[in-house]
Amino acid sequence: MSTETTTVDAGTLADRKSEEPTFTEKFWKIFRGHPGALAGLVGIFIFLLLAIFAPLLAPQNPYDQMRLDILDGLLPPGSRLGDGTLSLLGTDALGRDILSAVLFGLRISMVVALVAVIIGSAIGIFMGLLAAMKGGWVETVVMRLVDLKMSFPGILLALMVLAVFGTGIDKVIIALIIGAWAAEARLVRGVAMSELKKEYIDSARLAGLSDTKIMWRYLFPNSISPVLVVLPMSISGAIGAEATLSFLGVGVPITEPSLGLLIANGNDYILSGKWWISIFPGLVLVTLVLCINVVADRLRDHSNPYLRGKD
Amino acid sequence: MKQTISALAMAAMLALPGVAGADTLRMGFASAPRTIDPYPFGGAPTASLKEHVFEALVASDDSPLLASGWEWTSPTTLDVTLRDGITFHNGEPLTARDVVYSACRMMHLIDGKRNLLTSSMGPIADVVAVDDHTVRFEMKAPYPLWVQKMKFLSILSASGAELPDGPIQYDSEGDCGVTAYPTIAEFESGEAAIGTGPYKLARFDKSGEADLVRNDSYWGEAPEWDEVEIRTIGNAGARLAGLLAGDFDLIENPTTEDLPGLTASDELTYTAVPSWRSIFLVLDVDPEGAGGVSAPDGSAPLADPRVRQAMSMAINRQAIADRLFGGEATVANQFSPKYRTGAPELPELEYNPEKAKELLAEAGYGDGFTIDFYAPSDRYANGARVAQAVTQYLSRIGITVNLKTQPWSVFAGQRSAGELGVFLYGWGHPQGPAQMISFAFASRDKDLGLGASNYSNYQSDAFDAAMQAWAVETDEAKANAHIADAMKVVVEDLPGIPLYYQHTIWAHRADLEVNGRPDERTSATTVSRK
Repeated sequence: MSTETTTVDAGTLADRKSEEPTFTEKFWKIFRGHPGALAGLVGIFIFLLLAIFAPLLAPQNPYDQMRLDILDGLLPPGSRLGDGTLSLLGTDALGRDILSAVLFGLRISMVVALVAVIIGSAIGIFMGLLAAMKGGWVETVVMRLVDLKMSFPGILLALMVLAVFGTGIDKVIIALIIGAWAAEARLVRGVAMSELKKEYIDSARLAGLSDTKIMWRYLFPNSISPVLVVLPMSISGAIGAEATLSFLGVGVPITEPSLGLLIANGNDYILSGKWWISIFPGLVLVTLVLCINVVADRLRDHSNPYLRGKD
Repeated sequence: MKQTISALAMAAMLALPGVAGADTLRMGFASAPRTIDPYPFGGAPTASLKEHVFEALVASDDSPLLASGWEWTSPTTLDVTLRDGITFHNGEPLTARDVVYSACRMMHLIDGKRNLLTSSMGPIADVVAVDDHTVRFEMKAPYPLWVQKMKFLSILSASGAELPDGPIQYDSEGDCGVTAYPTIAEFESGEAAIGTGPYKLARFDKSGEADLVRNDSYWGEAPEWDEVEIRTIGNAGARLAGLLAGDFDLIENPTTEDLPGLTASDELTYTAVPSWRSIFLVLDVDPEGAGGVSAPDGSAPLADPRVRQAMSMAINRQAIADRLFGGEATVANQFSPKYRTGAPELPELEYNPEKAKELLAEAGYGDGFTIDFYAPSDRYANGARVAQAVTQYLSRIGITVNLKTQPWSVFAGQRSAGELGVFLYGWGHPQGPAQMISFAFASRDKDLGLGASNYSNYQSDAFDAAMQAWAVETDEAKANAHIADAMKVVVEDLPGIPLYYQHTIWAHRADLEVNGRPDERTSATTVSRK
């Protein structure tokens, strides 16, 4: 009996697949005629490459305390360090080359944001599906937890978490995950609730599939597309949140600065004319978040059926 | 002509508020004084405020203040003579009775909480008013330190309390026959804040605001200002903005980064004074090992004096003072600056990273070892940057350093629990160099008050012998010789590594002159018009 259903099911899936456009077609549908969004996408790609290849591109390893020298501190852009390395964007008070620090900082900012959002979203999706599927007390507990989380301003919650756990990259990721899952859970639950009323779920139930199977095989793939649309927005939000926490001095360790911490370091010097310390990391942060946001906007517009017709 | 006159009148009118304002000094503090009650709390902001209103027998530099002199009539008896003609803000004359009353108030716990000198006055058996101008302190054992400790005994007027007429009988519980001491609230309302100081309290607010007015009958040099306004702004940028906007005449602790901007202006300038605060690394030298310190062979590297010597040699102190402080820090070669009374002259500490590496290899740590290095992020000027610079220097001789910066509240808890093997610390002990090193490095001895903060777990017989001899020596020259002996031992053994002495910095209007104090107190008495 159950084998039969699976065969039928696989058949329909295969049929549906052949009707669907390929990835390239989809991609062009979304981005054609939107040069801004396309530029944003290219920007994200470049930032990703810079972050991945930072150790090869950076003239100095800014985390290697042995190679830093405070005698190289506060040099303006274009100066040479004590060991002859050219410092294109100048140095901070501790002799860190700003270009290298920005490349490495970009890396930390992106890794922290990506890891936090991916784990946070996974937890959120799971909780949302669970709440929709099980109903009853499970739903009550999950959704009240969501309400509880949503009643705190995100940054305050993160500050509280860091006050309890202490600082460090892993702690920042935990704080951001705690901040990220709830919105996703609420979103997924809403979509899943409406999906649950549809006929294919009824058929699956009639076919005798277990709740777990229905949840993962049918409900999950049909409920996550809204999450995928908000994902880029979540990532840029997480990058901003990490920068804020580091700026406030409760984020990443001071010997391994992220973009936010670099800006905070330079902030002390901005009135004394040492503009380069915070301007460059600031520019990179703004550009990165901007790139992600224009792409995210485009994805959102595209997924909105009312706006889609107007393209 | 008419026009000229009206223009002049106009100018005069405009100038009037300026004239009135010119006699008011407006000071921006970096942290709020906790109260105006002079007894419960120490700390620079609280002491800064209270010393406008209250004075002690001894001044901060150990010279006589309300006392005209003192004499040890026996090793356990100190006779202090009071200056003539001093009156309190309420017009009452200062007598020996007030001193006895003040000693009683110090020993009287409010809400069960200890006061500044509660433990320091343990060795004092009796305080007697011999006559109107002579107070006798009788000790249980020789206690020469009392002279320096007296600077914390602010003198109150006995008229502020309810007590029977006649002499006050001192007792160590502070009851002394007093039926009611003034409460903290009564001090803060100004009712009980009656001292002998150059300024009278007009208003105090817990948010860190205080208004003071000139004490016209002050016994010493006439106060410069009619009124003094103290306001507190914790954020350095906002404080500087207040100065730039003309809301303040003087502010505490501008950041080092802002100094170049201040000197570039014609209207503003700054005054920096080397302070008594030494910044140093504390090393836990316990042979059993130290928190966060690990060597490949499982030994305790910090217990080896060669390792500590190497760490000291690895650090370029001059570079830290020049680069991170713009020159506004003095390189340290001992734990208390030599410009402090009682501190010895010692040679400079060497900077020699090559020799440091050799010393490490000689001690068997040629491949290095690992330390967790802790630093408070919000306590010392440029503290986080100094910690990173030290991390750089120690890394270069092959030590793996994990720098951990934490807010003071977290840091202080871990330090007290003894969990930190290596940490950045600062100390400006107001009593003297000997107190500082005795607290920090002597073996714990409760009776003599030694070693209370020996986080290094340091133990040296030579050092202890010198400190114990100093603690009971009433002759100043001999006492200073003991301090020099102790300092030499501890600088040779390096249970801590001296880095630099902080400078206290005030930013102010260019037409003011600030004769800043080395004990980090901000006082209207140090500010005058040029």
